[in-house]
Amino acid sequence: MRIDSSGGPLETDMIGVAIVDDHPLARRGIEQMLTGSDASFRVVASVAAGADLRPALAGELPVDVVVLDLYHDGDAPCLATIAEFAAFTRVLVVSASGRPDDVVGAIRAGASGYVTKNAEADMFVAAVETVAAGGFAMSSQLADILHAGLTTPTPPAAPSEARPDLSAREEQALELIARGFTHAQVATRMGVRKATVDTYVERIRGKLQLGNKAELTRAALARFGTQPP
Amino acid sequence: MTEAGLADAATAERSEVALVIAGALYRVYGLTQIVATVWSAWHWYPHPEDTLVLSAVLAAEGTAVVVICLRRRRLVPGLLAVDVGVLMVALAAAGRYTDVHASSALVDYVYPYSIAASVAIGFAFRGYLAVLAAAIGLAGAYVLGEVLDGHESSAAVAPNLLGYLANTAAAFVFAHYLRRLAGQVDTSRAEALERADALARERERARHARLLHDGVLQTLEALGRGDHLPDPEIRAQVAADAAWLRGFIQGAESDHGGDLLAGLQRLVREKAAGGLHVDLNAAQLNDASQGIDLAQAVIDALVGATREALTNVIKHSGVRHAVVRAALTAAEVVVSVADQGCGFDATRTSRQAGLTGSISQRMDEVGGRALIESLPGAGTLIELTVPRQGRR
Repeated sequence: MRIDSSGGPLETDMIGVAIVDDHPLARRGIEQMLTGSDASFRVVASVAAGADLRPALAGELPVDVVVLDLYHDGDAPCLATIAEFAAFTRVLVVSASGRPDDVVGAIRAGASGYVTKNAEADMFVAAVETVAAGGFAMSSQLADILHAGLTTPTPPAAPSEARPDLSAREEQALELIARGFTHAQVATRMGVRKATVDTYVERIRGKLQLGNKAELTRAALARFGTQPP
Repeated sequence: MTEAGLADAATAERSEVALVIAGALYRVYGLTQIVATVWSAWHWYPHPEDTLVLSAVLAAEGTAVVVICLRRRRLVPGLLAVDVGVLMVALAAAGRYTDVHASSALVDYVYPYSIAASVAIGFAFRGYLAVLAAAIGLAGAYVLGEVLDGHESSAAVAPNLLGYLANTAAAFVFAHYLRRLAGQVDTSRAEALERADALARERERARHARLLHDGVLQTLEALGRGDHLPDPEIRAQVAADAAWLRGFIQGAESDHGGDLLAGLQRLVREKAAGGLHVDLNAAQLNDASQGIDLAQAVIDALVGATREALTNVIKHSGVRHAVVRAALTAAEVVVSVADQGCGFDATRTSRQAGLTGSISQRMDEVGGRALIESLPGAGTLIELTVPRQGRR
């Protein structure tokens, strides 16, 4: 476990990444993928549990994105931790394999993307970059899981949560992304501009995280006083 | 016998015991009738010693039947058949030993005793014909007894003998339904036990799978990918073993989707060993609620065509990454293979034409279809569709 506050504030184009995963080799692997790429990442923390990161985050640790293992806290997905961190930074969820309900739950809790651990290095790096910039990283795996989770006729696992309705176009975009097409290719197939496809993805995210922003902000304020870090 | 086997007939056995006890209670009532009647009407009998013998014989026989059936915990049909015979003889002979000119109906004790006994007789036989035969036998013997030495007014004989038919029929109907219900209860319980067993086994398996998955599998996959192992051959071996372990775990975790999912997973591992990274997006196949029923030939065709498509990616696309997606619509199963490689012009290259022909042929043979889209520089999509209602 490592928290590196020695580097001081980040240079303007560096991306500060915190890794949370209970498996040491997995953390090393993620770190290697990030530092071995062309983009300028600095791994500012590499810890085994969300709790270890909390005090550092409350301090001045410069974190643009938290790469968080979905099951780092045992068998159950760490949705509370995701919600907590998503309140004031951005969370990219990873896992070796995710149960669809857990993945959907992670997105609803505020995660900005989901990538499997055996993804290609450049896809992983691209996802981290997207999330750090505030966007939504929709990998083809995530699209497939969301499509299965949001469009099957079965009732959701937690009946208290209403399942969001996707429009026909949104569902179509999700389906095409699940097949492995880039947004540009999806746009061509649907006969729209690429920007429209990006909008569909953002709308899907919005429907999943509807109402969460207010709750997340409230939770962050409750925890950290009036000023979130 | 397993515990489930022992429990299989528990309710049935208990219901037989209940029938024995019910029949025994009626019989005991009958026996007390004998005792009470003989005692109170003793001085009315013309041949008291013979009457005593007859009543003793009946009492002994009745008690023997009750005791034997209680010990055997069921009504033994053969024994009850003998009992019917004894009763018939007693009924036919009853008139002789109770002949009396008193008007008290209490004097004749064989008839009420046989009516009480007929309940157990109705319980005892599984088929109604045997019960009917016994009832007719008893009724006939009663009539014979009345004809020979009877002192009952003829107006009373008819409803009396109907008593045999009514009692045995009612007893039979009741026993029949009781046995049927008991059988159903036992079957349901056996099924429930079996299902609980299977569920426990499944949970245990899934637990083991998760334990392996969270620890060993992650370590192996990390070793197979990163720079931790300097020797590339060893790294490749570790990566292949990690892929095998992943497949093994996924096989233990998911029984849904059946052979198609397993086949695709095996295929992906196979190609990974050859250096192709494949994302298998099959979340819908894993969904328990969607049952797909595909014939083995159809599954083989899908997996085979997918294999050809992936081989094509390795050989011609120039990239090392592909996405295989398996999805379900209401009526169809769709498997698509997409890559972002250099694509091809299907009309021109004969080798590609051979590929598309072979894939299309595989799909045609199982009633499906294949769609192949490719443009130079724009990647390739191969889409395989089969109808969903194939029977195994």
